[in-house]
Amino acid sequence: MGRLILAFSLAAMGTPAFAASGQSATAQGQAQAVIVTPIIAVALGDLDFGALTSSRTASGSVTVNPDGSGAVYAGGAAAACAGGGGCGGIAPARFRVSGEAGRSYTVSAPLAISATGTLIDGGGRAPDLAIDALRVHLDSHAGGVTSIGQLDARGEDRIAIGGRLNVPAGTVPAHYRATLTIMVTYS
Amino acid sequence: MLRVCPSVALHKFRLIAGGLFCAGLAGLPAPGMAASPTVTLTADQALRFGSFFTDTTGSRTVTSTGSVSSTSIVPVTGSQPGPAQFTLTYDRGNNANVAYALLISVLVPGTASQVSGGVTGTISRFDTDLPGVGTLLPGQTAQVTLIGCRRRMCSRTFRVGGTLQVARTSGGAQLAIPLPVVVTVLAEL
Repeated sequence: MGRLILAFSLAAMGTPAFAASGQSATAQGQAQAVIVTPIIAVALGDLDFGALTSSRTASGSVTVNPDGSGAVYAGGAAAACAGGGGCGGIAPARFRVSGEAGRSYTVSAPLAISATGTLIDGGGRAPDLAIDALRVHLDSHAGGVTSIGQLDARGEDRIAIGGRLNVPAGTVPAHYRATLTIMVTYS
Repeated sequence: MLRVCPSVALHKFRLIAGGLFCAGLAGLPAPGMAASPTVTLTADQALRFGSFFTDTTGSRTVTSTGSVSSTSIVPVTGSQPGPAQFTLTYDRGNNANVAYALLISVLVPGTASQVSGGVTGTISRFDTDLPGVGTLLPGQTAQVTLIGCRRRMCSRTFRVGGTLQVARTSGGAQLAIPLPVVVTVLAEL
């Protein structure tokens, strides 16, 4: 029994501490980052309402569909090319979006813009025309109209934007031009 | 190792008690014959800067506490940023039940960088949450005293943040930059 007590005492006392110096260890850590290709949109074609006539007494409009199906005239507006050709330029605005393959993105476009006119006779300024009902169509959502798209395996998508040009009665002959600005961001 | 167990000439219950005690001693170093101290360091988690894009150049800082700040970059959805985590384990080599402290040095050997396609990522500055250590520059050691050790095994987990500078000429990249960390135990105090 005496030996038992002696052994227990030794265990409780432990051993003298060793000086520890020069003991090194290396860990291979890692730093990670994903740098995404910036997303950009490049204009490929303008939103073109073509040539049209307006009524002296009735307001009208022409609507260009974003899916490229042509123009729809209403009220006092009519195609100036009827029977004479020259309407081939009617088209929605088109943009190419490029960025990181497979990433989704959001396109922001105005709902309405204003077109400034330059009189054909004399070159003076004509009253502005309103363009509204701007609609966005994305190739990545074929058949649907949405503001959220997804870049394909090549990191690309296409955007088309249509709208409605409102033509008041008695609109004077002029060339009209507007700026349509869109913004694409990763979502 | 030579051990002398209690004599079998004892009563039966004493024989059992002595046998158990002898087994208990076998797991401990012999008095005066402690093993050499050892230190290990494990990388538990990577330093994560997350997902973002930049036009040409930008930087992002993830601190050891997890706060994030950026310059000329646009974060996007994806992996979340966070500091690296390492665990230092010191085995003093004996079971002495006395408090001790460790004087250690921490070193990130060099600038961590990687070129991937048109993207270059460089980490030239680190920080840790080790007590008393703020900025950790590559190639410079920082000394830290870790207190509160008592048992044979003493572990400390610490985090490392950093600032990633990105220069981009084209495309994107997934960077995986080696981040070696060297810890040296200078003294047991």
